[in-house]
Amino acid sequence: MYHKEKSIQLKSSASALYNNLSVLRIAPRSLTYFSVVHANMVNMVSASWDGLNYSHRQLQSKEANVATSSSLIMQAAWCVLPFREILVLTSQKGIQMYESDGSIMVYWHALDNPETPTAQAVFARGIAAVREKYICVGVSSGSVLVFDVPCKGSNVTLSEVLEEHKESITDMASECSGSLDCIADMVSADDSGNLCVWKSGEYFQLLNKIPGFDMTCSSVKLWKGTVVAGYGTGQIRLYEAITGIVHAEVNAHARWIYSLDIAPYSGLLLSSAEDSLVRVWHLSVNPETNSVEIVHMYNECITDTQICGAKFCDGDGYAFAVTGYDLSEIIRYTQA
Amino acid sequence: MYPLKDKQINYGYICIQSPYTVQTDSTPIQKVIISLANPLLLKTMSMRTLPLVFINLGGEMLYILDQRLRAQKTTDGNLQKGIWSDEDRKRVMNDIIATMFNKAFMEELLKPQDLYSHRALKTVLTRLAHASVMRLNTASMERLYELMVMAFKHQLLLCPRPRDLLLISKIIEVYTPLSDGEFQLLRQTLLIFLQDIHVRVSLFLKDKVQHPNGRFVLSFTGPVPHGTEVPGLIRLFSRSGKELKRCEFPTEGSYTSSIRVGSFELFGDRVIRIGTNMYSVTTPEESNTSKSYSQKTSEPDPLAKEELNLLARLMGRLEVKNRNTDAEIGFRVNLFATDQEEEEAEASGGNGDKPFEVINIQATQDIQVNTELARIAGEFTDRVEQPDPAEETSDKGQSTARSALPRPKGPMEVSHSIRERTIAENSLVILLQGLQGEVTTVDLRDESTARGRVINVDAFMNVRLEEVLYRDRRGRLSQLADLFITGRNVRYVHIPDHVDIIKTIQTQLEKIRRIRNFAGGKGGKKEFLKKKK
Repeated sequence: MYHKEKSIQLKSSASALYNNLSVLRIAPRSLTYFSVVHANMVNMVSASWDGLNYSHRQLQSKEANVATSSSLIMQAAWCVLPFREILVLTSQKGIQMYESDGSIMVYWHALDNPETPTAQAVFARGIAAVREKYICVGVSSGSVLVFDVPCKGSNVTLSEVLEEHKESITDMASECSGSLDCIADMVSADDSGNLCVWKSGEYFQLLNKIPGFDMTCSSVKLWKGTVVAGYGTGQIRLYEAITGIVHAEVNAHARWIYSLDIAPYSGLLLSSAEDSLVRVWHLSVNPETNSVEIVHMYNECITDTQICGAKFCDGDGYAFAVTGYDLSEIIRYTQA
Repeated sequence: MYPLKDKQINYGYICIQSPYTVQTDSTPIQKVIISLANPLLLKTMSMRTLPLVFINLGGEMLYILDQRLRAQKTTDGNLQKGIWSDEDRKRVMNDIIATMFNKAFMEELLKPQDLYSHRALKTVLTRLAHASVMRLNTASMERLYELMVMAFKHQLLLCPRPRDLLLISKIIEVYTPLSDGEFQLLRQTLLIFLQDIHVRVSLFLKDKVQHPNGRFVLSFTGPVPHGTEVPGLIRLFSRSGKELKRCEFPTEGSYTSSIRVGSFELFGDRVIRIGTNMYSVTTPEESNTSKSYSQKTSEPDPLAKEELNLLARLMGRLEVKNRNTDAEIGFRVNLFATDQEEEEAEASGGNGDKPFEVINIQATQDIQVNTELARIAGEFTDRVEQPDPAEETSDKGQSTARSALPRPKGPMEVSHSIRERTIAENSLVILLQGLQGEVTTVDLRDESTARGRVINVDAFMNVRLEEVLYRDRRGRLSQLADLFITGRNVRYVHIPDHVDIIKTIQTQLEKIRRIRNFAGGKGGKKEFLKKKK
């Protein structure tokens, strides 16, 4: 179904972090941006669609004070809002927002670090762009920060802090199908596997809380009102967002799932785990029962690699990109 | 069982189960186990990584040293240099363990703190190794450290669940209450710490767990970790929660259901084998490492240095005596076949890949050992690993064309000369030009060899190297800052294994083409002028 394409070399290798690959497609310029985190650095590559031109950029996480050792970056992702695209980096020190090409820093939010290093680890993880103007970022304390981003300029404001989770946030996702009749806008997941479903607005509203089973939910997606969650047990579960009803449970991988991605137009689901396998699934809504069904489509093994990021490159799932721990390349696959 | 010194046992809240069970030679060494009654010592997540790193590396070091020392006993017949008895070995191991787990040191270690740089860590471990009567030279320590790091990385990559960190490490009770997610974070931090290190270890290569490029073979088939289901099943549920349908999918792997959960108890059955002494099953055999990694040596930050000073002071707190090298009454044992090889190992520092025994051990008398560790630790940042002065003096004269040219301001990647470019483009010299910045060995026509970093290769195959280890045809070694080899004297240039020949040639061609196009616009001299019609 898919075949391997020429891979993209990176300046430095990928770290073992959840969802450690982000893809942004810029149709007007026929470009695709990729970003991969390496310790305290983000590798950005822009690749032209014809595969001839690559340009690299490395972003360091800039610190307010240089004296302390530089902090590790936990995640980097592009947030696509209707009027602008923003690159968000989360690290142990804070949250940084850049213009989509990484050229200008728009906003910097420092996390309160306790003076004495005795408290719980502090970091931000989990990034999602919600509706028109919100960017949500999760924090290790379990709170979710909601930022209000203007159409242009750097007047980003912290509009709300959502305190529902007890454990560190692992991942967040917003509705990716773009349809407006879905009530739920955002889902957040934490280290104990609890999921919170939110409705965006002036004030975010908690719609539902789906309890976990004490196993980390490392990656989560929201598609047509269905929550797709990947767990440390290698399982994928499909929930109805509003009610929390389980539609399906898949024993998908033999090790921790590291990332999930959905191609919203075709309903393809991409899952990758530490067990060096990438699997493609197909989600469909059964009109009779109004429940979501899942079918297995494709396997791909990247030998001897602990995969840490896999993403579709386009909305149809025509191509996907994969990277793994200690791997300084992005491997691409396209449909035959 | 080695008796531990009383002092170390009566700690109150840190009790040390003697790690070192050596009734018979066939008994594998248990890794050291610490239990802490006061879990409040460790809190911060990523700051918890240091003890794990330290204890694991320390544990690996014990294994390796033990294996080395045993090998020493059986293989070394150098009577004039003395032989290691069992007693000596026990004493060495005991000293190291006692130091490693002494109370003050442990307390300092267990305070939440950032990970040290590799260099800082290496220094601490060197101090540790030297806590006994045993002496390791820089080259040996370098190898030892690489071995430790690779062994730890291998275990990290293979542990099926993040929680299994506990099984591969010696158990620290403090870590037990952490959740799986926190363990995963710990593991991720550790993996970042060990990222991009691809040292090849002969033992791993031989057992086919490592590829020649330094990557590990990761097999995920077989039993799935405890708590994980066997992949391959999809279950669909109705709205009322009833199971509607079950279907299976091909998994591309053979999985079996989960193995028993490993015991986290002291001396319990760990179930998984990783983390046990991997040297215990092998015959005493050399385990050389060779480097092929491009790891940036991170600058030790001032904070880490402060911490280190403190640690070192604690370690060496027993007695501070001046080191007196002349009074070396003890004996010196070494693993190298000849003295020359040993010198070579010393001189080659870290970047050689010569296949000889790794660790050179020399024992001095016990008293001297408790030297001023703090002083040494203070020096570690500015101490450059210098080759033996004796070697520097040797062999100054007779090499081929060797000169101390001043370094070029910036490496010129492509020559400005059209003639040179054309030659390069049409011959394999272009491959050598692509080696710029690589450490390689050049064999010369007079049977001598030079190993160093390539600064520049021109179209006539004149090679400039820096940081060179030059070995003349009689095998004598000398260290040179800069070496110029005329093209006609080159016999072979070793292409490093990791260099992709085709790709290198392509990128070099690309560079030449780029320069040519640059000149091709309006200004500049034209190359390959089109024939006028």
